Amino acid sequence: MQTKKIGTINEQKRRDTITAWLFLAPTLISFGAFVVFPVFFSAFLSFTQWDFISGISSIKFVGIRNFVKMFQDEEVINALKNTFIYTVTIVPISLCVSLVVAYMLNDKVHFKKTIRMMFFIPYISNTVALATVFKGLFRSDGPINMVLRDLGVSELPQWFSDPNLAKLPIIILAIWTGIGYQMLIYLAALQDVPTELYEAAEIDGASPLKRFLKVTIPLISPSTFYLLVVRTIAVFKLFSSVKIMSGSSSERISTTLVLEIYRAAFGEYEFGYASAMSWVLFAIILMVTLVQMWGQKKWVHY
Amino acid sequence: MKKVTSMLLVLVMVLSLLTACGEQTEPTEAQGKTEAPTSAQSGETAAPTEQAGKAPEDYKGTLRVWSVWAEDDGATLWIDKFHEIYPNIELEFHKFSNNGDGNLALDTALTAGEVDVLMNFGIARVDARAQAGLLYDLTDFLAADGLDSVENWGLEDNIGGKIVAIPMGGNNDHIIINKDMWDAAGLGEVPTSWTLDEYYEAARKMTKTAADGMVEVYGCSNFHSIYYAALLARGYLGDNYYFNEDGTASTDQQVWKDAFEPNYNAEMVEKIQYPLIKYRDDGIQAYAPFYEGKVAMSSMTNAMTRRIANTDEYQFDFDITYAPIPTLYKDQETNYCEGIYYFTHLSIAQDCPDPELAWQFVKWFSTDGSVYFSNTGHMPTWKSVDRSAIVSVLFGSEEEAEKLIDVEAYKRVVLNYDAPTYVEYNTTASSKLGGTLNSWIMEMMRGNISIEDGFAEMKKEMDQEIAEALAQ
Repeated sequence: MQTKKIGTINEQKRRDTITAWLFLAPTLISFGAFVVFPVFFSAFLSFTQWDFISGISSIKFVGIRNFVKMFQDEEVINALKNTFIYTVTIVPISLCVSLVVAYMLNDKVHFKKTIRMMFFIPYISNTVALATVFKGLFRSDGPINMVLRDLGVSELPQWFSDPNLAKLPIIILAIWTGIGYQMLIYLAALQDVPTELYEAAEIDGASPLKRFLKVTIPLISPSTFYLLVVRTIAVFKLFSSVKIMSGSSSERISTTLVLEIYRAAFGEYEFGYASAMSWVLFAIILMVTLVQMWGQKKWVHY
Repeated sequence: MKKVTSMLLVLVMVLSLLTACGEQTEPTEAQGKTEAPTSAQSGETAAPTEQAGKAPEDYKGTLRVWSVWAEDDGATLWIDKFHEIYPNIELEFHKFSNNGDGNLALDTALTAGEVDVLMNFGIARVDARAQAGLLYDLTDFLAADGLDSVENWGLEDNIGGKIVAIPMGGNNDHIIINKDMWDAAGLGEVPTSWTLDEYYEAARKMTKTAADGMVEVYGCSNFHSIYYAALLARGYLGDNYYFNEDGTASTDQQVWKDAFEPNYNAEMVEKIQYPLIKYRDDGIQAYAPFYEGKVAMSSMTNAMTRRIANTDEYQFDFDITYAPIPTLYKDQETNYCEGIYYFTHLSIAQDCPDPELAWQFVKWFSTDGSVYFSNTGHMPTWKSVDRSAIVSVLFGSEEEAEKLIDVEAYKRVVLNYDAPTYVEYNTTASSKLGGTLNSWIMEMMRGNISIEDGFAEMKKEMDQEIAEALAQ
């Protein structure tokens, strides 16, 4: 009787397991085919030379040549420098601006919902469309230069070809599009700050600035840390806006590592080289994230 | 569970490695191969066309043609004319853009066996696809039909003694002139040959500057795809203009600097030439400033003619005439820019299930039907093409053409089949050299590097690219 019961339970468990696997199967198969396989295949390809049009049999093992080449390739080094410039400008500025906007919207302001929506729309808009609009704004005869001309500027800036200016439209666009999402996260964090703490600080004679620095900033630091990590990763992967906005004249000035990966793979059909670059980018992002994780212990208050 | 996941991951990795390292198996029918097709690489011979006893109407089937022009862009005429002879062959046009993304789409379709006939633009594309074994060997088809490639298209071979692509379309570079502005500047007769100095002298006279110093009309424009500085250099150097005899980059030759410096002066110093930076940064098409009356004359290819003929979309409210590309030097004997150079190469995909059927279209479109290709503005290169019919195909009739352009100048300058031209036989690193040229030209134009140093760096980078390409 006891044995029969155990057998029934085991049978039920087996059925449940099969059912679970069947439910998981579509996701697992697509995950395997579109994530796991490409990841391992690209790791393998990074040690090879391959143009996909010659077929799989033309894959040639080249050892670490792709990695060595990368660090001798001026374009890649330049792209890497640019990527770091974008990161150290876009991430802090966009976080600061988002926090200021969120702080203002957390107070009593007119048209709060409308303003919030206005800041959020760029985040949900198509980056290609936004980049195209920005490209139009910064054209040599675009609205921005026309305003500058009306203001009496005689030597109008060449936004996309001047090495000192070419990254600026891209940075502005990236900051602008990021504000909406970051603002929402900060708004949620600000609303979670206990009001008693502000009241206590006020009784102790803390000025509004001091309250912001000593109460608000520490208490929203987990959100800041989260945004810092995700935004850094996003900026390291900056692609569409740079692809659209950097004309052929400013490619070298504003290119990023992801753009170089794309160019190597789909422009030059150097899939081995592109894979090697992808893994180096992955390693850099991982390293930066680990440093951030390590550093958060000193300034994030949970 | 962890064990199962780990096993799965290891299995996927091992399979991917084995798949990649494995020998290529013989093609199966499922891959779209037929018994007859041969590889341009393999050295096998192609099955001859089964002409004997087969009338055009006996050929039946559908061909997937990859072209930058689809039905809406002029292919309807080709389909109609082709059907007059081959009523039972359906042509299914797939449009792609001749840029990096468009060619990637075509290459992907080629490797997937989704293409029967394709257009390759530039010999570098032919070379890459032929090296990858994606193009069908046409040599035996040509022989079976008694078509001598030299006699018909001036072509000896594409790759390794074989013909995998017929250069059925070409381009001509020339100067297109706003005749109203030319006359207003009192420049007299439009020259039939001229030097660069004479060209810039005319540009100087046609440039109009407003009181505030803004240029209203630039005398000339030289935005010509990747050929900005190369145009005049190749007019002097001819075949394989990117290469020295020893196979290194030719950009250490004085002719490159001589070709670039006048452009730089005209643009940055005198401001008589439409700025290259403006074209590139603002993504302006080469034809636009000329069409808008912002430049008085412009270097151009014959592709512009399609816009002039398209009176529904473009209305040129001025007379148009033509002059040849000027020579760089006064005593220059040959100007290789005057003739028609190969650009459009027609091929059959290696995986085409019925190459003989595809050959019927390729043959027709490269010979008798090639005249209709001129409705794209591009030039048929078939030696026996009815040249007088080209103007009619483009404009409807010579009378109609006269309303829009100087037909005599057009025939003399643009349809200049007998003038010398150049061929890029050496395709080493060709896709990279143009990009490198462009990048350094822009650096010099922006003043980030001196012309001397710019060309030295360009030479160094090009040599490296050539060496890398040869090492592969």
